[in-house]
Amino acid sequence: MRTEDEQRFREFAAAQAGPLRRCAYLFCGDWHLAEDLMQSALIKMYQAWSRIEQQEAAVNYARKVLLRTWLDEKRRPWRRSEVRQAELPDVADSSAGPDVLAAARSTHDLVHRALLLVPPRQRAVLVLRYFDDLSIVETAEAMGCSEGTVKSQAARGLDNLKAAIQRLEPADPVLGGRVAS
Amino acid sequence: MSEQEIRDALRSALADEPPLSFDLPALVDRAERNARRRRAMFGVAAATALIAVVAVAVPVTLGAGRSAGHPAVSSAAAGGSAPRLLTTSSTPPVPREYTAVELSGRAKLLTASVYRAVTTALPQPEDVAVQGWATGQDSGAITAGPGTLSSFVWVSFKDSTVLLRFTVDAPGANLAATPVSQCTLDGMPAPACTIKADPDGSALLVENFAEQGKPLTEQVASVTDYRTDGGTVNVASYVSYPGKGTVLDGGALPPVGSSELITMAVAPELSFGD
Repeated sequence: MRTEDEQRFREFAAAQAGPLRRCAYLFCGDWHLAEDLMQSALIKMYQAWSRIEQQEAAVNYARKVLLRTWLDEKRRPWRRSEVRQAELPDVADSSAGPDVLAAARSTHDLVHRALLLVPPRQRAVLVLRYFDDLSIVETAEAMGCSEGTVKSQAARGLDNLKAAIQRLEPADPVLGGRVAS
Repeated sequence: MSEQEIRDALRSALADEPPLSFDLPALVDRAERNARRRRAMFGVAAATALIAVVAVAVPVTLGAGRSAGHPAVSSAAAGGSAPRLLTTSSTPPVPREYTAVELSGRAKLLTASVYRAVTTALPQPEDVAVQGWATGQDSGAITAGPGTLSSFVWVSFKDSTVLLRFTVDAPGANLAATPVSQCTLDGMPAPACTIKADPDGSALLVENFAEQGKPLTEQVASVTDYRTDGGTVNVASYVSYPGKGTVLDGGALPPVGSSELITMAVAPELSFGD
């Protein structure tokens, strides 16, 4: 790769590593795997870098590569057998008090756990549409499917997410108390 | 829940984001190494393909007179199956959406097919229990979507038990995975992974961890049949089970190896029937 191309890639990777990892985390629900997926996607981007001319195209392509990398990863049989049981790690946050932290944590834990119960492709559509704020056309391009499929998957994904949240709520004593009050 | 609430909730799910331990120079070095290896591998693959083409073309050319009456034979020989493994199909099957009712109907048919495939391939099982089918990885339920169904099957023998997982994809539903992508890690061939091409254009992906000395954590082997209609069937065997221990803790290994998994994966009745 030419020096100027490599410099352009380094700038791109430095800028997109964080957003790609966040997107990957919402796909898979594991920060370690999200970092692996992000790095795998960037390595694939490096190999295709000479064919990518515009920055905007690179961002969209990176998202597409990340999604394919995750779906490939899920297809690997040794990943299929994994069952998520571990709790999310505690990370100290000095910006809020314990009560606020507990409430916020229970809320995003609930949504996060519910999201992981949504089937993978529907989950991907939800993340691309509502986290990355992609249009239906852009989501269809990233997913490699039709716009109609994106619409139907998004609708079903939302239904499944709501159903999952409702299923999880009664089992969550912290949230149950908060809602009751 | 409104769309804005979904957006806020997804953003709040990232509140515990750990700091990014991202070594950019190391990543670029790794990418450059991979790119060099890929170029080297591509050179070897191209040379191998050239040799294969010559090896096929010369006998076909010399024997043209004899095979003139059998165009199917000569076209199959000239076409070969290797290119299918190096690239994705030029006309991939179009995936379709299935309703939950359609998928439930297929799941019922697949239960009987799986039972037949297991009892045909495995020697004298004492019990075969096909669990419920699911469309999602974690949901454990059948919902509308692309045609992918998976189920676990417990097979008990006299001295051992094995857990099998069957995943059946309708034509086009498994476009994300090809034999090559499944057999590749970071741009390099994955260990314990082989691809067997059939003359009809189908391919078998066999991953056997036991043979490679890899620690047997939970899985013995996995076989995926990539069929000519674009559908795939994966059968994987496991020897440890959440909450039920592992046969490696002193139990006998179940009589299920790659050959038995292949027999089950290629069973023609295991399909979506589209």
